Amino acid sequence: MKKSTGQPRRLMKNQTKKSIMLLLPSLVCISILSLFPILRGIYIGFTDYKVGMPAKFNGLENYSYIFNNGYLKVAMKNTMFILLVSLIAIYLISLAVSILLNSNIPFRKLWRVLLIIPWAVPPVAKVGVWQKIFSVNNGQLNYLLTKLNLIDHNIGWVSDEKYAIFAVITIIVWGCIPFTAMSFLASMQAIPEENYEAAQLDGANAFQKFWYITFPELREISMVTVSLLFMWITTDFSSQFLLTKGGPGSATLTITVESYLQAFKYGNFGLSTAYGNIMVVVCAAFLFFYIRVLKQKEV
Amino acid sequence: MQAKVKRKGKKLLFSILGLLLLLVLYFYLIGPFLVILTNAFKTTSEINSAVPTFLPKNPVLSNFKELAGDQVFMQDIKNSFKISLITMVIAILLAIPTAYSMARFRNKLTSGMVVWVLLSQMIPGIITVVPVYNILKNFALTNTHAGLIICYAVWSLPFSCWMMRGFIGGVPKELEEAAQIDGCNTWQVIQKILIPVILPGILTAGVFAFINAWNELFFALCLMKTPALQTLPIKLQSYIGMGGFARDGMVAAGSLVSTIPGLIVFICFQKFLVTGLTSGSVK
Repeated sequence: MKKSTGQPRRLMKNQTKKSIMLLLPSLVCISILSLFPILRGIYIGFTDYKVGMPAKFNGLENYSYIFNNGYLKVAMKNTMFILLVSLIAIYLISLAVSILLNSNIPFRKLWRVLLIIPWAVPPVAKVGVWQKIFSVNNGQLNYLLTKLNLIDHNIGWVSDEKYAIFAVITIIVWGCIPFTAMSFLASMQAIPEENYEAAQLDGANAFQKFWYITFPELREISMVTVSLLFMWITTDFSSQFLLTKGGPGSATLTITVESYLQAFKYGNFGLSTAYGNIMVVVCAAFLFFYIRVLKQKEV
Repeated sequence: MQAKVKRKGKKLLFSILGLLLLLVLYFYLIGPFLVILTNAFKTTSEINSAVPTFLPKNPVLSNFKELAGDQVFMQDIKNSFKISLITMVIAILLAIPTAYSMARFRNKLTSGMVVWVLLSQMIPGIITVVPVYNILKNFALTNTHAGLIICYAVWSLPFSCWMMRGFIGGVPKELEEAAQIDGCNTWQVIQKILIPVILPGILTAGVFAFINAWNELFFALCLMKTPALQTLPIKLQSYIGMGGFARDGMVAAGSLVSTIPGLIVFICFQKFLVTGLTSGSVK
């Protein structure tokens, strides 16, 4: 059936008008409070904006300062370390939890409900309780480890620069597992039972069933969750700052913490935002390569 | 016969091992919450005793009484509640038409919105906090609830839109087309057909916005300077920051109080949350 050329064009114009009308309220709010601040913020990263003084564009001076003085290297190293260890830990633990919750263990419903708890605890409370647990002389962790004869003296999880970063990682991982495990579980439950039955008939054991049926289904959701986790962990404020404020020394100094310190301790907003810009670039770079690699593997 | 027994035995072994592993992992996941729960009912001196106890020796309600007596704390809870509630309403009102547009229309504008939803996740708060502060200052909205509410609403938009878009995408177009044939315009279609069907998705996106506003610390800390206007996370954080251990009982009780909305919401909306988040992303 041939349509007259006028009709589809009119329809499209009508549709575009409709979508603009629908988007208008959001567009206004987003432009003022999201888009503009983001652009302006990114621009400030190229100025010498300090408290009380007008911002003057100074090109890449902030970045040459950041790259030449010692703290960027430390901050980047810590940030990368936290990201790497956290992502691996979150992925593996969430995978284990979701596999277990997808199997025939007793009280499955109970475990599923309980899984939410770390997600429901607000960041401030999260840091507060873990601070108590990590406490040197009356914290639960040292008490348990001593009782199990795993250590012979109390470890300063937060005060010792060897361990502080692992304390931060523990907290981050703890908070991220619910979302990741629940995402995996949702994906696993979408797999039809017949696939497993067919595999069973072909003589597959449990591991093969997992590797060839379950795991490939997780590819897509893994892409989404890992990307989100990467962005969330890089920009996370509470877990990194509230526990150790970057200390002891600079053992847990991450880009986020350094950025915050520059802004609110030294009043150097230009520099602080420059750190923020670096964070965005790091995120963007990771996402670009990560998604590219995954898309290639798909072929 | 022997092979069957062997297989059953192996299955049992794996079940037991699996359960053990689960218990260990859940000890990690739930343990800290139990610490909050039990500490809330202990006196500060018991919390800080040399040997940590699990269950309180003599459960007390003194921590909660102290919190209730702290005027600023009670005011901050009310503030948080009010701010989170209004944020939720505004976020829903803004997100519905936006998500509808994103789900049903394909043009440069909606694609741009999708890109913005993803990119906005990458921007750390530190980049936007100063420009946002200056913008709010121009409207005399710094240190006001209204200013914070607008910030939170816009900040929750990406996720709310994303979730709702996923749910809307699940509604067959035929439903809307049938309504349009009956003479409804787009707004009526949304109101009469879509919203009732998507209601769980709307509520889920809404409570997500509520919880994000309830838990948020950074922007609240930067924008709210008057103690009477501040929110619960700020007050809780000040308890933790206060030197010494004098307030640990209140920290635990306060933490428990601040966790309760999140718990209720997440448990009730658990099913929809994950479907919303994952269906929105997996096209």
